[in-house]
Amino acid sequence: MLRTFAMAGALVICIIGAAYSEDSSIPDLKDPKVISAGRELYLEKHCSHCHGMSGDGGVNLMHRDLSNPNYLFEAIADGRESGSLRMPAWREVLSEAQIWQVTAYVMSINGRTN
Amino acid sequence: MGRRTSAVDFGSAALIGLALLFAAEPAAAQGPAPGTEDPNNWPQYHRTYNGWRYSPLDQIDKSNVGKLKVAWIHQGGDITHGIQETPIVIDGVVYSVTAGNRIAALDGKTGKEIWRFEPKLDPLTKKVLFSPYSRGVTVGRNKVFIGTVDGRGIAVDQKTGKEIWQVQLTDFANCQGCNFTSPPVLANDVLTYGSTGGDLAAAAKIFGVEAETGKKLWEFETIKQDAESWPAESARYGGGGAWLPGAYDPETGLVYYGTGNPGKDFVGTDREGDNLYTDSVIALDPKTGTLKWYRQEIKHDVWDYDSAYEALLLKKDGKDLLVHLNKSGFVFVMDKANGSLQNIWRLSDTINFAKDIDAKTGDLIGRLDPPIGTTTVICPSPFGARSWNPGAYNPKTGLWYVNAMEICDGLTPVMQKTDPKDYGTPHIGSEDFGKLQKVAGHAAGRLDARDPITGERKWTYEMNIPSFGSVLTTGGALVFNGDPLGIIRAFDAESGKVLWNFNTGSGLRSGLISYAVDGKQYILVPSGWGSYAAILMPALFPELEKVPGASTLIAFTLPD
Ligand code: HEC
Repeated sequence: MLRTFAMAGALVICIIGAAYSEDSSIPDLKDPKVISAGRELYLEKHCSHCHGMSGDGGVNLMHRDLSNPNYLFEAIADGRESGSLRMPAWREVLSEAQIWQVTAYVMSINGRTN
Repeated sequence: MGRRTSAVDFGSAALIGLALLFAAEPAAAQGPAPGTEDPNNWPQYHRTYNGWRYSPLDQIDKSNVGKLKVAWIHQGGDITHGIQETPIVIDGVVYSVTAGNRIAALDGKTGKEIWRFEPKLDPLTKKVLFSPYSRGVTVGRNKVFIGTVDGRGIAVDQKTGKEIWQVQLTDFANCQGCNFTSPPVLANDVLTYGSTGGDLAAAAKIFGVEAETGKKLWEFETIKQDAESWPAESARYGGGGAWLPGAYDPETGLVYYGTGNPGKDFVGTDREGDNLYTDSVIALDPKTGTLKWYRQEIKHDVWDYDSAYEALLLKKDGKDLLVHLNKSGFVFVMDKANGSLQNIWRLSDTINFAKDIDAKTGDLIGRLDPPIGTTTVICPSPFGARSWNPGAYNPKTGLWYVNAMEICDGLTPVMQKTDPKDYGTPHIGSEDFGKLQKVAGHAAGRLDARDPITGERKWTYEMNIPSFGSVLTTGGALVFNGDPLGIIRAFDAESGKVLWNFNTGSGLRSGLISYAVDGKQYILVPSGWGSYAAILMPALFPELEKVPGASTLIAFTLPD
């Protein structure tokens, strides 16, 4: 299912992208080291349970627009409900830095099919 | 999509069914035959303490079930994880619990809300694994009792829904969110609450509470303090628990519970030993919490084969039996006085975690413990040979109607850190629940009609996708069963023929019941797909990805 904001996405990313470069607490989400730390967390914290080892599990992450890092951070931090399905919230269970790392990993696997 | 097959052993099973029919209906000079008391109501989780899920009502029968129509519909609010309850009905009032421990009392004739109670939940419930669903309420002593997903017991007034007492029982924030997803058991003036624990870095407990006041009376540790059973520190996070409702047996004065699996589920190397009292049927004195007997079904479990399911109580040849399905697919028939083994039979056709089981001792023969770091295909999968949703026993046919599934799982155990504050991560010793797979030559799902003591099969209804709901059987010689796509079917209890079906619009994950008000019989169907099955099963059954969530009660009755 395509998100309604998919079209506006590119614009949002430009703006957010600009904001990020000024915020030193956000790691470079394209840095292979950050992505690989994210992958480790993704397995260790069992994101893989629900989303599959590479994003193609029960709650499939592959065929979606997951290009907005801020959106992904919030989704992971606050948890998500979709219909009757529920993802637990990870804020404080994972540190902010860790949530950015899994965000980087999610973007990397999603990018593979796009 | 389903098809009915007659089992090869039809004839002999029918004979045994007949024999059972006589055995199961005792002289009963004093009072009604077991399972037939209080026919208009559904006063407790399985209706009667014997776990039968049998309604003696017979107004709806084979001749008219095809005419069923919707009497009313009630929406239960939050649909997160669907609807998983078995509603309670007493004197025409339905007591229902939906996501977030929201309780409602409804008029059984119209579905109109009489009162509603919504507790304020700890925000941590958003982070933990087993939340916000509940499997039911307990009604008695003019109160409605629940266990909450933040580990409390709460009592409200049966007439008004006003809170009477509440008590924090589990150490919710420090046991990785161990809590209550099932209603307590009422044993006269004591409530017993079994907590979640398997899959969590916790050592779970069962609590005894004074029903009038909420005062905690005792705790029973489902993880035994015993270095032989639990070496070094392993008992501390051993899991266990009793996450499904137990039952109080007034004949023996005991409460029976089944306990959860040891943790971490798939890695046993740091807990060499039997790991008592995980994967066990236990009998407790509700006044004191004293253990009267136990039978451990799976020693040193490394496959997530809980014993949490229902205890089916039957009498045969003067013996009082307790029939108990373990997730592993083995059904244990025991003497309810002491748990001694009478028989073991297989519900699942596909068992490979052990070559066999010794029917006399219950010892597993030729275990397949999946090695760490490599993938091993294990059957049945951690979802079990059946989901937790109970079967139903009909004394008129002597048959137990029970769902079954034939699904294996490619499991890869890994060492895992233990952290009781790592709320969203199951403490199971793997990075996922494995790769689910179907079994060639077998339907993935079945509804079986079985002799509960020998396991002999009278009929089978095969399904492409297994059912994750509970079965209901009635005095009208009917069996009701729903599937994850939302279709509920009525079967002829004797032949397995489908007599009626209805699309409820969302999958079934709950307990179907029957009750009567003012001489009219109703079939009440909670419809609403959700839970871990809804999250994980689409990988194997892509059709399930499209099933919408819901939290709906649908009442059916016959036209006037
Ligand atoms: C218990 C199952 C479960 C676990 C564990 C889980 N998720 Fe989710 N996740 C879900 C569900 C359900 C959704 C909502 C699905 C939807 O929007 O269709 C979701 C949504 C998401 C989304 C947003 C997708 C979108 O399109 O909005 C992201 C990103 C995500 N999860 C990442 C993660 C990460 C990273 C982890 C581990 C830290 C994780 N998930 C753990 C079940 C889970």
